[in-house]
Order: sequence, then C-alpha cells, then structure tokens
Amino acid sequence: MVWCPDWPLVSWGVPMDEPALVLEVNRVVATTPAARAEGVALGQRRREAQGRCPEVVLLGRDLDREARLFDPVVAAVDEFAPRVEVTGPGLVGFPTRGPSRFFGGDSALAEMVYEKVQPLLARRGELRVALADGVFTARLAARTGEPITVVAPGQSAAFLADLPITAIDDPELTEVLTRLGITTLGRFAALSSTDVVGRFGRDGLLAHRLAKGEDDHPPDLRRPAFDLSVSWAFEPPADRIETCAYAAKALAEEFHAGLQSRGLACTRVAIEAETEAGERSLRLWRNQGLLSAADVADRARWQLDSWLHQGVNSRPTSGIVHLSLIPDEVVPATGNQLAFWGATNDQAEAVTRAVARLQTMLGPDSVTVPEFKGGIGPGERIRLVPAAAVDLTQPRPAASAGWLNEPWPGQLPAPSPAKVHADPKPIELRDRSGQLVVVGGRGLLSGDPAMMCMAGRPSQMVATWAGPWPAEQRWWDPLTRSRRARMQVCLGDGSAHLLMVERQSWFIEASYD
Amino acid sequence: MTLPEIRERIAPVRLAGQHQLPVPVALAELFPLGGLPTGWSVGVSGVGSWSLVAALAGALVEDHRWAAFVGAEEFGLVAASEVGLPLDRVLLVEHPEPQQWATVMAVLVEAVSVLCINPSHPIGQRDARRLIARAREQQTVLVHLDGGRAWPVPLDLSLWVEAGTWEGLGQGSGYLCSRKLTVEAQGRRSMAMARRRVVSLPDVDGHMLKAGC
Repeated sequence: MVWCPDWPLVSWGVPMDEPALVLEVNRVVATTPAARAEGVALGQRRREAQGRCPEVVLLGRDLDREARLFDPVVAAVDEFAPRVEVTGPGLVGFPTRGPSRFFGGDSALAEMVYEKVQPLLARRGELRVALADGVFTARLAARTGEPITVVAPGQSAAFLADLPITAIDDPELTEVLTRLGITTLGRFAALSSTDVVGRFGRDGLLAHRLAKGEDDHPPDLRRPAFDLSVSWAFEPPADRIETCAYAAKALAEEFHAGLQSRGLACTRVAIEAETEAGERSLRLWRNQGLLSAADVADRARWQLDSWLHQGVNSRPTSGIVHLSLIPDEVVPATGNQLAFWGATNDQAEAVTRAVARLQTMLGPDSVTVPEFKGGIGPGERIRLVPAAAVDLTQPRPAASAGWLNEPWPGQLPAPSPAKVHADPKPIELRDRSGQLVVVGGRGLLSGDPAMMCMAGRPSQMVATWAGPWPAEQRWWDPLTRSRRARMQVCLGDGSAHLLMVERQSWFIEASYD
Repeated sequence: MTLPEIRERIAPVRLAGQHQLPVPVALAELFPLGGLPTGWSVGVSGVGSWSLVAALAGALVEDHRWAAFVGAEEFGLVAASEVGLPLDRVLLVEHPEPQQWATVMAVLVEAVSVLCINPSHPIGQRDARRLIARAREQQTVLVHLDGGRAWPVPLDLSLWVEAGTWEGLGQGSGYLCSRKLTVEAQGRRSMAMARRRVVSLPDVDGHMLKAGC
C-alpha cells in the first residue's frame, strides 16, 4: 500500500511549511503539517479551523485534479507489479507476493517503491509505504508515522491488537464497543465470531474479520462466472475527454444495471481503454465500500483524463476506439432496499448530479440553494448558498420553515412580498397638496401620502398605507450603518408594495405580487 | 397509506395521462383530473402570479420531489416559504446564456419534478419541442413564470390570475394581511373549458384557502 496522506494539498502544489487546508462540504479533509501545528484537525468546520489559524489558506476539493496529478505515482508503482489497484487519489496498492520474491524480500520491495515514488512528490508532503497480509492492515500500518512499515506474514493480528477500536470506519459500531469496554482491536478480535454475529450481525462480522487481521472482503469473493463486463466502441475515435466522459457515464449505468440484475455489487473494477493505434490503458480501481454507477463513471473519467493529458512521449497517439468496464471483484449486493410499494421518489441524488454538471457549465455561484438567516428587509432574510457546498441528500434544517423562530426587531409580519426587486426602483411620494412626503427625525411622515410617481410611468393614487417602521441597522459601524424606514402601500390598481426610504429618497423595495 | 392509494400504485397499467402531481386543495376544482398531469407546460400570468406559483409548486413537490427556478432572481423566497414551498427542496439557477439555455434545461429536467422558467430571450421552436419531449419522458412539469410569452409552442395549461384588493391596511394603520385572487384556468383535453375559482392567497393564516365564488 502506498499512501500520500496530504495528497489533496500536494495536488494543489502548496508548500508544506505554510498553513493550508482543503475543504469538502465545509469540513476539513486535509491539512498541511504547518496547519496541524496550529491545531487544525480533520473533520473541523471551516470557521473552527479559521478560528484556530486565521492566516490559513482555504482550498476547495478537486477530485479530478487530484486524480490527474496522481497518475505519475500510479505509473511508478505500476512498474513493480502488473495488477495495481487505485483506491482513490492518494492511495494505491498491489498484491506483493510475486513482486517481493522477485525483488528480494518484503523490506527490499518496500524500500524500492519508496525510493521510486518519493522524488515524484518533490519533497512536498509525506509518503508512506506499508506492506502487510491484508489491505486493511496495510492501510493502518501506513498510518503509523514511519515512512516504511512492513508487517511480517502472519503477524497482522499481533500488529492490530494494540490499535484503538476506532480504526474500524463504522462509528455506530465502534461507539457501542467502546461503551462495552472493548477499546482495542485486539480485545474485539478475542471475542468469538458467533457472539459477534449474534449481537452485531453481518457488519459486525466483517469488522471482526478485519480486527483479526483477515482480509477485509468476505471469503466468498470471486470473479463472476458470467461475463458482466460492458464495452463501448467509439465511432469515430474519441480524442476529447468530454466525449469519453459521457460515454463512460452511460457505460457505467449499463454496467451497474447488469450487476444489479444478478444481485451483485462491485468492489473492484478494471477500466480498460484502447486507441486506434493499439495503445492500451488498464487500471484497477477499488473502493472501500461498494462502487456505485457514479463512482465508476468518475474513475473512468479520471483514468482517461490523465492518460490523454500525459507528457508528449507517453500520450496516446490517436483517438480512443474502445472502452470497457470489467467487474474484477463482486460481492452479493445487500444494498438499498426500495420501499415495498414502489420507490420513495427521492430526487436529492439526481439533483446533486445535476448541480455538479451545471456548475461546470455556469460557474460555482450560479447554482444555489436558499437558507434562512436573520434580517429585516425581505431580501436580507434569505442567504443563497452555492449548491455544491451543501450535501443535498441530508436534511437541511437551515432551509426548513421554522429555523428562525426568534423575533427579529424591525421585521414585518407575514405575508412577505413575493417579488423582491434586484435593484430598488426610485419613486416619489406626494401628499394631497402635491408636497413631497419626507420622514422626520422622529420617524413620522410630513404628510399623508396620496400619490406615487415613478419615472416614465403615470402616477398612481395611494389607496391605503401603513408605516413608516424605522429600522436602524449596524449603528455601531460607521461604514455600513444605515437608517431606513419601510412602509406598506396599496395603490389604486390593487397592487401592494413595500417602500423603503433612506436619506429622504423613496424606493420600491419589493412587491406583494 | 390508505387502501385506495395502494390500489392505485399497484395497478398493472398506468396510462401517461394518469401520472399526475398533486395540486393545492384550494385549487382542486380547477383540475378535473384531480392533479396536474406530468409533462405538461403551464403558463402563469397576472398580478399575484408569483404567489400562485409558490403555492402551486409547494403542492407539486410533496413527497420528496424537487423544484428548480431558473432566472427567478426576484422571487421572494420568504413569501414562497410562507405559502408552503419547502425551501429545502428548491434549487435556484441564474439565467444561462441563450446558447447554453437548452443544455441547462436538459440537465435540470432530468433531475427535478417541477421546473419553473422565466426566459430572458425568445426560445427557439426546436429547443422548446425537445424540452417538452424530455419533460414528458422524465415526468416533469414546466411552469412558465412569464405566462409563456417567450414560448413558441402552445401551452398545455394557462392560469390567469386577477388580484383583488389587500385586506388589513388602513390610512396609516394596520399591516397587509390577506387578499383574494381570481384564478382562471384553461388548457388542453379535459381542461378545455375555462374554469374560474376565487382563493385567498395568502389567507389570514398565511396559507391558501378556497373562498366563495
């Protein structure tokens, strides 16, 4: 297992001695050592991290970029073994039994891999190489802090015994175990399998296997007996990544449908592409969980993207004519069970996919979701959050009615105006004798409004009105303070508007459409 | 779930015309089929149309469906939430460039059940027909916030809104409180006959209520 712990930052090219972090859905997913020294930790919220270290550089997560730049590392590892599997950007592994015999033992192999990959990182970020019986053990061994860790054959259980139970990535299970007093993997492994199954079911059994140092996949793992691979022939050959990506997406759906019809799910997929001139790119991709159709499509895109954008010497010389997805390891699918009477029509995932596509077309700020926030004016009570920054599949209390129940001084009661003008339109308000209506220092009108005039429109009679309600905002801040008053008016034609006055100028702020 | 609902769901055959989205109870009489058939395009026009769209969309997106509003920067979301639109299932998209319009719509129509558009430029005949076909296939309802002015093909249903006066405001006293809207609907097939209903939107409680004709 070869692991670059700070890969998201390495891919951005950030120097490791400067504090920086990478965010995904407002949570920290990677930090530089400099930022860690200031107390920034994984899983923190953005604000929390900024509080600890105000000068930290914030970066967004860009999986495509990470995957593209990770390809040289994969290519380097590829020279040691024929079947390299990529778990994701930053983590790559391969079965070592054959290679280590060829290269003269486990330690020698691990060192050679380290020497080979280290220069590629250009001394930015750490590199960990770990070698063990199983993938899970190797992954934990990579976390020990040593650049090279070799767990001798048969020693996995002993190596794991002292590690905390939270190494198993299943918070629900580990929390219960901790409360039961089982705090290390060794103590969990000491329980009998039958008891674990009886209490925790299938997921518990899998975790128990991991703790015992056995492979993280069930033993009935097999290559499918029937051919479930799908392929796509490009006619004419595709040389643009967009064309390939669309094909990959359609192919991934087909691939998934094929697996699903057999009740299977894929844990490792081989993606193979071939060009007109016969060049081939084959890569194995593993996921810690199961690979969904969207995951497979993503991985195909990463692989082709990095292949097509390689240096001049290794870049394919002609367009891609053939793309296949081959399920390499499958397990029985125990996944989502749809509701008995037809599916509960949950569109959040489809919406998330649409958001991702629209964002690339229109820019990140042009697709937004609303959230409530405190404020006085009708436009100030909603905040538009870029949709890509929010997990749309989870409940979002900030967007539910009733999020803000506390009274907000100066806020008008419901109903609110249905049309909030982007740029308030200037108007004049006159009383019965034709004098301009102004608001005095005590918040009183100089006369009853009778006519409303807008530039270029016939003036209209004010039928009924109420207000003004003064709203003094940010009186403590000389730069942004504002003194406004608002009024509701109903005009002769039946339309109702919200007027706003600031420095004796009247505007239509919103309309009750 | 009641027995009739289950019976309807497990019925072996459902015709395209039977796929419907629920409409607000107060407007039910305008829809003789009991709901709004999916794939239809609906134009809404008149003073009060934005409130009506919010109330209509609020019922259409029941049961975890989503709504997208394209080019509706002026939409008062607080008001929409007050008349029943769940803002946690609303996606807002800025006006796309005219040459990107068709692509953006194609992406959205696959994702959401209610697509509210307010085009800033006239839509081409071809783009419109393609979008209608996609909407039928994906069972999405298209709502035209501009009443279908930029739309080159006939709408399936038009809703005209005529606003009555607001209640609650006096000469320097009170607050806006409620108003009556007259909604007239005319469309294709079973809705070819124009129907009129008066509703309170918003009602004194902020909801939409059926009012006397």
